[in-house]
Amino acid sequence: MNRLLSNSLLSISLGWALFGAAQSLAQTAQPDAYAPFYSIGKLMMPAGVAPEIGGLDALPDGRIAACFHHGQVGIYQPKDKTWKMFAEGLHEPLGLLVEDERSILVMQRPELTRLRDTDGDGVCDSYETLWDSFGMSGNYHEFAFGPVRAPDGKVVVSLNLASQGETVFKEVRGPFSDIGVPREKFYTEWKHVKKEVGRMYSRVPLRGWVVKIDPATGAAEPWACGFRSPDGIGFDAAGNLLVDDNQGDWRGTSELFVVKRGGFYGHPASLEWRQGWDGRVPMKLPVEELEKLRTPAAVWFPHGHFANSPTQITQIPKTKAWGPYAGQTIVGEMNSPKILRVLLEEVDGVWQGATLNWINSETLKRGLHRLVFAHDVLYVGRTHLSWVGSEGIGTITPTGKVPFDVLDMQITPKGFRFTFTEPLAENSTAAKLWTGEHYTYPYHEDYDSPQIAKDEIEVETVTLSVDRRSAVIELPEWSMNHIYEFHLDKLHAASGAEPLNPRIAYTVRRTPQ
Amino acid sequence: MPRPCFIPCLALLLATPAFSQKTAEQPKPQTIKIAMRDGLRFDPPRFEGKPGADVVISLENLDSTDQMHNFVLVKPGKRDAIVDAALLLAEKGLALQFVPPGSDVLAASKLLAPEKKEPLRLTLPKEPGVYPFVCTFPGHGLVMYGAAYVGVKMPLLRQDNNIPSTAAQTFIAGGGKRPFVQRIFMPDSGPAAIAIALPGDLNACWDAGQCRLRYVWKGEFIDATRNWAGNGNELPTMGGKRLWTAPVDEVAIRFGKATAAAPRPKFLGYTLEQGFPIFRYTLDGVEVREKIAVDEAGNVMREMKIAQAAVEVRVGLGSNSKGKIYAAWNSTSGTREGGTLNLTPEEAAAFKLALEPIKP
Repeated sequence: MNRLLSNSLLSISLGWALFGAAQSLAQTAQPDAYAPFYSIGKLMMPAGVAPEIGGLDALPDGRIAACFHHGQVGIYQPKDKTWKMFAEGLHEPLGLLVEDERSILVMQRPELTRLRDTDGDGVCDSYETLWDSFGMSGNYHEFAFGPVRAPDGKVVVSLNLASQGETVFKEVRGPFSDIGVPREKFYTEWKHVKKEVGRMYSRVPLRGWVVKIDPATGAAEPWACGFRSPDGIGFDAAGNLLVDDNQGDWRGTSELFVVKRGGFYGHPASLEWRQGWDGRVPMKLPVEELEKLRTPAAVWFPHGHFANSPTQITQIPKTKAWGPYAGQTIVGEMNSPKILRVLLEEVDGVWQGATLNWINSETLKRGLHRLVFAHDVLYVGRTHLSWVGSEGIGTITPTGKVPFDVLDMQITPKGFRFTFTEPLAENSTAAKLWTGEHYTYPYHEDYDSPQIAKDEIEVETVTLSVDRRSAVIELPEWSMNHIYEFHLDKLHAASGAEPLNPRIAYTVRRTPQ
Repeated sequence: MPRPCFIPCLALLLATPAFSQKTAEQPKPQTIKIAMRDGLRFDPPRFEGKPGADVVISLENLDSTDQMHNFVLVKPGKRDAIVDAALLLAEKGLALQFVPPGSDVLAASKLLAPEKKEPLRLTLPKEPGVYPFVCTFPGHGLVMYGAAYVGVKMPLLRQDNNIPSTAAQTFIAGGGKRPFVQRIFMPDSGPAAIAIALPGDLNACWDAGQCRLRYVWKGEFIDATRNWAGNGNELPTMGGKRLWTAPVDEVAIRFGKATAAAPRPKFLGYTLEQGFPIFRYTLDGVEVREKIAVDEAGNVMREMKIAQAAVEVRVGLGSNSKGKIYAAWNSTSGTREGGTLNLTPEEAAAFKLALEPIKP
């Protein structure tokens, strides 16, 4: 602020022409811990477009396609920094996928659409409905996300639940479920019944589901349910479908799931659209029964310190520019200016793993909704939709310097193996340097949860590898289904560097034998 | 969830009898979000409030071109004078946040740097009127302004002389372009609605869930300010007059007997021909093309193509609609039977419907 004021004072005293002070007050970013490793920039937005970014993808030639809050799709040419508008008039598009130069898939509120430029003039003239066989109640919270390309060539989309914050339209699309509060009460007694319908509800088909669609035919397969507000869909390098979801009812904190066909991932509302559902009101089932049905999250994002509202999931490309992180999975976040890494592993048939910050810089701003890599630049599209967030598109370019960072974390029978980007200092065998806490979140209907059953992590032994790039720590005992959150800020590299991202949280579901 | 904090801005809220500082114990005041944006504009550029109401103007500088902005609410007719007075502050301006002293200023925010927010809490004047607000940072005020409608109903966006015309365009879907197609929630329609702006101030709402035209109106196209400013819950508003509305339960197209079951619609999308949409859908598997355009006489026209009907086609003309009807559909072919147009399969292959005014 002081700097800005002095800048503007300078411009005023220098040239006090009528419009003199309207000149740009160039704001120099505060140097932060991430600046030596990542150069953060921004794109100018096209004129007359509300710059909230619903979706981002790259064309093979490095151009970037983006969809905007008011329904436009634009294509950015980095070479000359220009935008060309491709399509317009879409209903809250929240994700897009480039098929080729003349074809883009976009998920808008009412449908998955193929936008085609049939005459080759660079502008879409054909808006083809690829899939719209899902319900719309008119409730504002029924956002639709995706599409993301699966390794088999199909695409994956996800459908939000409706929110108790509002009732439904008089006319809906699709059949209205007769399970639970009768439909007419949504109109006549909303204020009285809103508590009964559930904080989030699914009264029209496939709300709370992840759906796989064949882009050639539009044939859709409801893939998995139990979701609340699954903004982030992605695949890891091994081809696992990953979906994240937002803290809220039935979500003590935000979560990431490894999603299998037919799975149920915790939020009960969507269960009534399972084939052969027995007609019971899902949210009134005993928690023990739901617990048996569900697959718990592979990774919890502890609320407050890691992510409050996770977004796009993608992989860091396997190019030299991204150094040791190549091939790892990252996740965006709405409420804080950060992108996180997720380290997954399968133990005894169960997926679990860790999360830690990757880049956490105020320069990135908030609302980091969509992430796409192109030509060694990471483009970050921001939105808010009236919640916490921001706007525009940021760029992240690696400088080539690699920070001292945790590279990987794996569970061992009695503890964890940490791998680092640099050799550790010799004193790292001291157990007192490996501190942290463990805790869990309950599975309950309430909105969010405090961390419960919290205790300090006690490390018994630390063993370094010969090259000191990895360390195995051992614990006296396990608390299952706990997050082990380490605070490694007391560690140093042999070079003297401090860890760039000292907090790492591992969700323990199973321990290897 | 965002939790606005109500921090009163003691130094800068210049109290007058009409505007008094409120403490945090008061009941929830109405929150009005206003962003400062690229191109020197307030978003949204106007709002309505009740005389004497407590409000929080939730300001945020989202200008990506690194400009500083403030928000100064002034007495009616005083906008230009305040902008001039702010300029004359010259070197003293910055210390005063470019807010000139005097009773013409009713409330003012701090000068906000990019990314900064301020919840400006105030009481709207008791005297109904249109109160301008403006950014008094030197050079901004000539184009960066808006209006608070206190106890006065806002006119249609494009007829509003109290806001810059460029600001109005931003919220009329398509920015005034005709023809134009915008998918958005619409009143009196299913949720998969499509709004269509046509030449001659004509507009239509087409329902992609039910694959049928719902209504036609003449006047301003949709003002999406409230829908776009929030999470999508608020419906857009529209100006002018409904010319025709399809009955809620009408079956738009039926095959065979008048008592035949309603066919199952499946929406296939649309192409744009010089901006006019040609909707494609199937009804029980029979493909229909429906172009929404304007004919030579300036009436809304539906160019219909039902290529493979095996039996007679019955088109509902919506003449049983409740309420006043100002126009009716006339066809180039087929025979009328009450509110229905009957076509042979050959006639149905290509026919036109024009919405012609009914002479009173």
